[in-house]
Amino acid sequence: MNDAVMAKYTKDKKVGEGTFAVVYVGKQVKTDRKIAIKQIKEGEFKDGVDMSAIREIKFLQEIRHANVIELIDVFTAGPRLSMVLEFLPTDLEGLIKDTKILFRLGDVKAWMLMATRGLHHCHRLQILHRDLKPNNLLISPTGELKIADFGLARQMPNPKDKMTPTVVTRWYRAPELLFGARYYTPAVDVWSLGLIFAELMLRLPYCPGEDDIDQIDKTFRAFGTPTEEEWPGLTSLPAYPKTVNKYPHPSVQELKMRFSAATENGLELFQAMTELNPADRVSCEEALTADYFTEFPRPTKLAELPGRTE
Amino acid sequence: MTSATASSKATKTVTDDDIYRQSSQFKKWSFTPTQLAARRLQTNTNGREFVKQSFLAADLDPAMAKILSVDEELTMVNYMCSQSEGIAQVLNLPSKVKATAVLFFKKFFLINSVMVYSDPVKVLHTCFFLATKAENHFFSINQFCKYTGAVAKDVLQLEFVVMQSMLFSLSAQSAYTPLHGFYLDIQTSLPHVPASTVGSLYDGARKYVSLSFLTDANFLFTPPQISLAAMMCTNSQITEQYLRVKMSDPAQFNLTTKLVQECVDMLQKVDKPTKEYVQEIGKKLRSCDVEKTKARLLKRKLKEQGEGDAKKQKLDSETPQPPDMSNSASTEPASAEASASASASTTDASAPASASASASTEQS
Ligand SMILES: Nc1ncnc2c1ncn2[C@@H]1O[C@H](COP(=O)(O)OP(=O)(O)OP(=O)(O)O)[C@@H](O)[C@H]1O
Repeated sequence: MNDAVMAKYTKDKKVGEGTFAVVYVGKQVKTDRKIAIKQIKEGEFKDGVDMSAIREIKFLQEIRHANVIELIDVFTAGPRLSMVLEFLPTDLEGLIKDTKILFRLGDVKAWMLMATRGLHHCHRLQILHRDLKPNNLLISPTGELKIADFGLARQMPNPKDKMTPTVVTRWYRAPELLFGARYYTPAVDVWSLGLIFAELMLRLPYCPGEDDIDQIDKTFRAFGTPTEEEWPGLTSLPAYPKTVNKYPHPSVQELKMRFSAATENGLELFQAMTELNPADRVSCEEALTADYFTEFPRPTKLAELPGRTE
Repeated sequence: MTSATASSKATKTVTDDDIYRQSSQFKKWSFTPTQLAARRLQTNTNGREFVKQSFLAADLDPAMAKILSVDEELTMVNYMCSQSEGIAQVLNLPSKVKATAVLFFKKFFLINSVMVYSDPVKVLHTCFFLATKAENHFFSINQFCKYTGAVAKDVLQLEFVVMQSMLFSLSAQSAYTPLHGFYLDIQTSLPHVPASTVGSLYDGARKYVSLSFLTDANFLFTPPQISLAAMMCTNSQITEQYLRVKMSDPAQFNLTTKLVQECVDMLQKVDKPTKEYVQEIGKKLRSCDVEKTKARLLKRKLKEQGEGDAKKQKLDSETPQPPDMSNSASTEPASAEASASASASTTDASAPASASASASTEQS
C-alpha cells in the first residue's frame, strides 16, 4: 500500500530545507503535475512520528480550500515520513524582500483577501494556525496565495482548557500571547495577519522585537500601551510585566504618516486587526466584509500579481 | 474572561451536522449497514487468505489454523474497545483523547483483520499513543510504556501502519464534543429544567456515548446523532422537548427522531460477550498466528523428546496469554499494568465510575 503511494510520485531535486524537513520538487507521474515532497528529518523525534508532522497531516486532511496548501498524499520511505504537497515555489517573505518588485495597492489587497479567506476557513473549522508569518504564506505558480505550515496548529479547545502561550514567531505574536495568556482565541491569528498587512505596506517588519521583552516594548511603541480599562484582566495575565513604558495610541494622523500609501479604509482594517484587546479585534468573517476589500483599487487579478511563475 | 465567551459560542457550531459532513471522518469512515457488512467480509477474507499463505510459507498445514468468522472478529475488537477504559484511566486521559484512540482502533480493524494483526493489544496501545499526539496530550514513549505496560518497540513499529490504516485522517470526531454542546445549549433553550436534571442527563448520556464505542454507531451515525441518542436513552422526555424547541419544522423533527431512534435501539441492545467466549476466540486467534503455532509445535516436540527444563521454561514464558491487558504485562513493571487491567474489568466500558470527574478535565 505504502509503496504503491510512493510510486505515484517522482522526487527530482532538493528545493529547500527547514528545521524539521527537507523539501524536494517532484512530479505526480500520472498527471505530470508538479508537487513538493516534504520529508521529515530523521532522528529529530525519538518518540515516533514527529508531533508537528502529525498536526500538519491531521489538519491539512480536514482543510480543503483554495487558499490553504493542499496535502495530496503521505508515505514513508524507510523510517522517514514524507508529505506530498502542492508545489508552491514562492513565498510572501521572498516577495517582500525582493526590492526589484514593486507592490501596487491592489496587489497587497489581493494577498490580504486570499490570506483572510484561507484563515477564515480554518477558523470556521475551529482550527488555530498559530504560526502565521510571510514565510508561511506561499504563492502558487498561478499567483494564488496559500496558507502553509500547520505544524503548530491546534483545534480550538473548550473554554476551560489551557493552551500554551509559546506559539507564533515572535514578531507576529499577539499581545495576549506575549503576556502569557493560557486561554486565547482565533484572534491570535488575526493579529499575525494584521502585522503581515503592515509588512506588505512597509516592506519591513513592523514590530521586529529582539527578544520577548523588547517585543512587548516594540508592540506598545507601535500600538500604544493598553490600560486595564481598555482591556479588563490585562494586568493579571501571567506574564504581564511589572513595569511597562507608557506610549500613546497612535493617532489617525500618525498612522497616515507611517503608512503613507494606505487608504483610510485600509488603515481602518489594519487597526481592527491589531486591536490590543483580543476581545475587540475583528474576526476573519468581519474582516472579509471590510470596505477596504470593495473600494477602489480592486484586488489585483491573479494573472497580474507579482510572484507568479507561470 | 471574554475569550471564554467567544469560544463557547464556537463550541455550539461544532455540533453542526453540516460541518461534520465536510470532515474526512465522514467522507472516509461512514457507511450504510450494507457497505459496512461488505467491508467486514472483505477484511475477513483478506485475513483468511493471509493466514493460509503464512502457513503455507512455513510449510505448515493451513487447516491447523482455526479461522475466525466475521462475528468473532467483531466480538474480539469490541472486547478490546471495552479494555480501553483501563488504559485511559492509568494515563488519566480526558475522554476526548480516549475517544480518538478507540475510534482509531475501530477504524484500524475495519480494514485490517485481527487474524493479520493477531495481537490486538499492541494495536490498541499504538492507537492510544498516536491519539495522545494527535490530541495534543503528549507522553514520551518511555512514560507511555511505563504507565500502560506497552512495549516501546511494538508501538513505534506499528505507529505508521496505524496512521496509514486511518488513511491519514487523524482527526477523530466522537459524540462527546456535540454532547457537550447540547449540554450547554439545553441550559439556555429549556431554562425551566432544573440544573441538576440537566446535569444528570449529561452524566448519564456520557455513559451511553462510552457504550456506543462497543457498537457500530460511529460508522453508521454522525456524532451529533449519537449524542442525541445517548441523551434519549438517559432522559427521553427532556431530549424530545429540546428537539421540539430546536426544530420548528415537524418534518425535520420527525426525520431526526427517526434516525436517532435507530441509534437508540443500537445502544440499548449492546450485549457484552462472556469472558469465556472471548477466551475461546483468543485461542482460535493464536492458532492463526504462524509464529505462535511454530513455537507451540516446537514446544510439544521438545516435551516429547524430554528435553531439559530450562529451555522448556523459556518457551513457556513466550507462549502468549489470553488476549487481554495482562498479555503485555510480562515485559514491563507489573504495578501500573495491574491497575490497568483491574480497573478495566471492574468499570468496564458502560459505567466509567469517574464520568463526572473526568468531565471537568474534558478537553473538548
Ligand atoms: N509546497 C512547497 N513547494 C515548494 N517549495 C516548498 C514547499 N514547501 C516548502 N518549500 C521550500 O522548502 C523550504 C523548507 O520548508 P519548510 O516548511 O520545511 O521549512 P521552513 O518553513 O522554511 O522553516 P522552518 O522549518 O524553520 O519553519 C522552504 O523555505 C521553501 O523554500
